[in-house]
Amino acid sequence: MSVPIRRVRRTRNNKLTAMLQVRNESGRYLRQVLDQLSAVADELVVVDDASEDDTADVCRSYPKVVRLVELPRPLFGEEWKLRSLLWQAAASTDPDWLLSVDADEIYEDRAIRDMRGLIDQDAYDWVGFRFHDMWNGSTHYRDDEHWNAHRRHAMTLVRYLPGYPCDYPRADHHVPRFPPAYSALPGLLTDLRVKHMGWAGDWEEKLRKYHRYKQLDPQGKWGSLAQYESILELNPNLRPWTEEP
Amino acid sequence: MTCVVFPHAAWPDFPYPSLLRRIAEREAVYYVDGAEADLPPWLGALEAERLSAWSEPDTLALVLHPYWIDAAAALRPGRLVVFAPGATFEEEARLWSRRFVHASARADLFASASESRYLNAAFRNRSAWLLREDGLSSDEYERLFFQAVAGEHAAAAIASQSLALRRHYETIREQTGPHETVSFLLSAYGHLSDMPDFAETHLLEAFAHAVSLGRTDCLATHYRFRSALLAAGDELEQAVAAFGISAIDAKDKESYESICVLLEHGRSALAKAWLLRVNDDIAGALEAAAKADGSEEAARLRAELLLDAGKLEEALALMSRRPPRSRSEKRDVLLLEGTIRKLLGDVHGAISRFLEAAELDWDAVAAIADMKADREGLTRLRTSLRERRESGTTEEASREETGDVGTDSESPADAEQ
Repeated sequence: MSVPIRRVRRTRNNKLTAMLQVRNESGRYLRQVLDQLSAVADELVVVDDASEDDTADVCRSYPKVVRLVELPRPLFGEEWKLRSLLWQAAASTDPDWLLSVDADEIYEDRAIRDMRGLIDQDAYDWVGFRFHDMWNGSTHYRDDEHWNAHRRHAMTLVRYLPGYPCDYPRADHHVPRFPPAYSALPGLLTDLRVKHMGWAGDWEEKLRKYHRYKQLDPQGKWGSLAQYESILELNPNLRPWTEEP
Repeated sequence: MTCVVFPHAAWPDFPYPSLLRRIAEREAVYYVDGAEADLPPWLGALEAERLSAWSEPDTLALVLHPYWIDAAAALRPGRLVVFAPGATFEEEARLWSRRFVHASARADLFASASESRYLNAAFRNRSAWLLREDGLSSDEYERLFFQAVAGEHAAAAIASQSLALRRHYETIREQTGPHETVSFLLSAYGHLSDMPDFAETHLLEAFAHAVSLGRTDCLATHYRFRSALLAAGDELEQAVAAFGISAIDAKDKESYESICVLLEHGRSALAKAWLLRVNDDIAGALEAAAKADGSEEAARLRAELLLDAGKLEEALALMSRRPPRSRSEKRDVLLLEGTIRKLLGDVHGAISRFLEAAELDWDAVAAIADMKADREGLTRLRTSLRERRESGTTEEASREETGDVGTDSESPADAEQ
């Protein structure tokens, strides 16, 4: 009698689950992000970190959101717990691949088009993208000493491997999107880009964020104080964003 | 029982004199090609030429140089112990690397000062000794060392050392915290002591530390071992998944697919044997393969494992059950027959088989070249021992002239009485 064994790497028909943690995202980029993810992913999993607006309702309105975990009190100060919860919820959908997205991240069209090809293969287990910090709108990104994520790669797409170590470091802030063990797997670094819209808002919004960071991390324990100060720079170096075919 | 020592150096440089002294309290001990003037009264000299006429039925052979292994094995000793001391000359170090599998497999006990070789041997046949006192008092170490070498409660002594080594690393682990090497060694010792949960916990800890250090190859060097631990505990589906995750290159992917197919067809014993083999746990793999079905595939794997384990006669018996089907199979059988004859001291028989193999595949002539190189190496070793013996005789004469010499000149046989 033959009992099929699930192969750890499959080259076709892979299921992609997108995973998001959100908090008070209504009225910003959430709908745009959910629209995009609904087009590319098979299922969506969301952990709502005790939003005080209608973020949960917005998420619920998307049919592909198959899990919505609503926390009664925020876990923002214990980020590893939030990450672990999201991971478990996403893993419960029996995915082949997981795409970790923040509610202000928009993949360029090229990346969306290539997504199936990126996951239907058995040569690598994660994919790195280049993140651009869009500044003062969606036409330019910032490029200087403190704002250069686009020169590196961020691993946001991984093959889900049941049984593989998935512990997160027990840190309150700056916890990686995926369990660190996934970084030991073979990966692919692409030139595919993501627009990070978190800094695309106006001056007042930046000022609010500046004060929040300074309040949460006055000693620069989790991030760079110089970068916090650079948020308020009046004439940062901006480069135009050009769409690629 | 009589003990014969096949040394790597003259007596003054012999690294384990107290061990021999202890053996000599019960048995006659002979030092091959030793200079009598060098030797203590309880140790006899034995010229290598006399070995061909050796007829002691229950000999304990202690071998300290790779060149001697075949000569010692040819005595058909009751117990063969091979030592690979730490500090060796460059030529010896290369030889040990080349002859390690052969040496560790032929020996009833393989003793090494290198922990990686010790572990490799332990995974090959579970009969290994680490030439270090870690985790034991000197007295306790000496007592267990003697038992392991002499074959008196050897299995218990070997297990005791493994336990002591595990405790030794637990102490270090308390100081270092999770550590890619310390935690991994704890996992290996846990596996050898049949403690699967302990072994897996420390393996995952070692892997996590290796990941945090950015080790790019830690999937193969650390994580893969999880598949052995799970397989040993008969968690075969999880084991094959763990191996699959670590299977990155084409060869490993092919092995992974083969193991999946075996498991899908309910051939669990064979799948388990493969999983243990890819983790170099040859002893565990052989045990699993013994429970496999009677298929040709299972027989082939068993034969390969027996070769890995150095159990050449058993491998030959298995390979000879049916006539060879190809030139390469016939060549392999002839090479194996030649090697076995060489080990029995039948030089002409060995060369004859190697030549027959070379008629099928010219590359097989390398076996004759290896044999020649070994004989030349042995000649060099014996020459160096003889030179020492001759210079020792001169020194002895000199000491006699000055009165600086002991009066005790009894032979080992005398000492026995």
